[in-house]
Amino acid sequence: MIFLTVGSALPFDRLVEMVDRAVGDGVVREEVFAQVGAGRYRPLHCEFVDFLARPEYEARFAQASAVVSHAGIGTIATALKAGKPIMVMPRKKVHGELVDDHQALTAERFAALGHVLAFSTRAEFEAGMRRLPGFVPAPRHANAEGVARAIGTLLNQLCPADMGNMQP
Amino acid sequence: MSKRPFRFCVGASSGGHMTELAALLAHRSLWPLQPSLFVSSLALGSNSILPGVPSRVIGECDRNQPARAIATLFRSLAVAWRERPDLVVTTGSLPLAIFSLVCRLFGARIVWIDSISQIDRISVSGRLVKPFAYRFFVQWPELAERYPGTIYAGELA
Repeated sequence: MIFLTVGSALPFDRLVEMVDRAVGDGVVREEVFAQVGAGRYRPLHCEFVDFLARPEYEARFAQASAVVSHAGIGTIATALKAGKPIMVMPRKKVHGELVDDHQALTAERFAALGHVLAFSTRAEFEAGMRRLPGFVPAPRHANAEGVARAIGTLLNQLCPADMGNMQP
Repeated sequence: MSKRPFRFCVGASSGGHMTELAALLAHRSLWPLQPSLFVSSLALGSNSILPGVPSRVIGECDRNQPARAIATLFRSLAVAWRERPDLVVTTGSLPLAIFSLVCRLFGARIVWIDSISQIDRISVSGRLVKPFAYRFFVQWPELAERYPGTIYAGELA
C-alpha cells in the first residue's frame, strides 16, 4: 500500500488529484490509501479519509511500502526516521497553497541529499514512481542533541541551579 | 525569601514545527531545568510531547490571515499576562512569533529556532522576532554564515 498524505493543516488538491488520476490511468498499480485533508477533490480511484488520528496515521505509515506527500518537514522527518521511501510534491504560493515557496526549496534540498524523491508535475511523478522500487533513502543524521546542548548551556547561564523549579 | 521559580516555556505551531520541537524535547534530560509551560497553535495531541506540563493554545494563523493573527495576539496577551514566562524557546511559526514578542514585552527572553525548511534565508516570522531574540538558531551552517548573530548548533529534522 502507498500512503498518500497531505498533512494535518491544509488541503492539497493538486497532489491528491494527480495521484488519483495516475491510479485511474493504471500508472500506479499498487493500492493507494489517501488522507486528503479539507480539500474539494474527492478521489475516485483510491480509498480515502479526510483526517487520521495520530495512532491511525502511524499505523498507515507503518503498513505503507512508500509515502507520497506534500514537502512538509514533519512528514519527511517521520518517513526518514521510519526508513520509508517518500516522494514529495511542494505546495506552491502561485496556487495559493502556502504563503511562500519554502517547500520547493525543502523538496529540492532533501532530494539533492538523497533523502526523498521530489516531483512537481505528472511527468515527474511518473518518473518518481518508476524509481521508487529501487530507491533507498539516504539516512539522515540530524543532530538534535547539538541544539539541545546549546540550549542547556543557556539554561545554565540564565537560571543557576538554586533557582530552578525541580520537576520529576 | 519569595523568589519565584524560573518559568520556562516551550512552544510550536502544529505540523513540522511541532515535529522539530518534539525532536528537541527528546533530549531535555540534558537540561538543568524542565519546561513548565507548553504553548501550541492547535490543541491536537499537544500533551503527548510533554506529559504533565500545563499547555495553552493560542490559535493558528499565517500572514495572510490578519483577523486570525489578531485573535492569536489577544490569546497570547492573556497567556503571557497570567503565566509570565522568563524564557520562551520556540521552533516557530507566526503564532509563536506573536506569542514570543508579547512575552518579550513582559520581560521574557526569546530563544528562536528557525525551521530546517528555511534553506536559503530565515523565515518571515524569524525576521520579525530576530531583533528581540536572546538567541537565534538556524539549522543550516550556510545560513549562520549569511546572517550575523545567528547560531548553527545542529538540526532538529
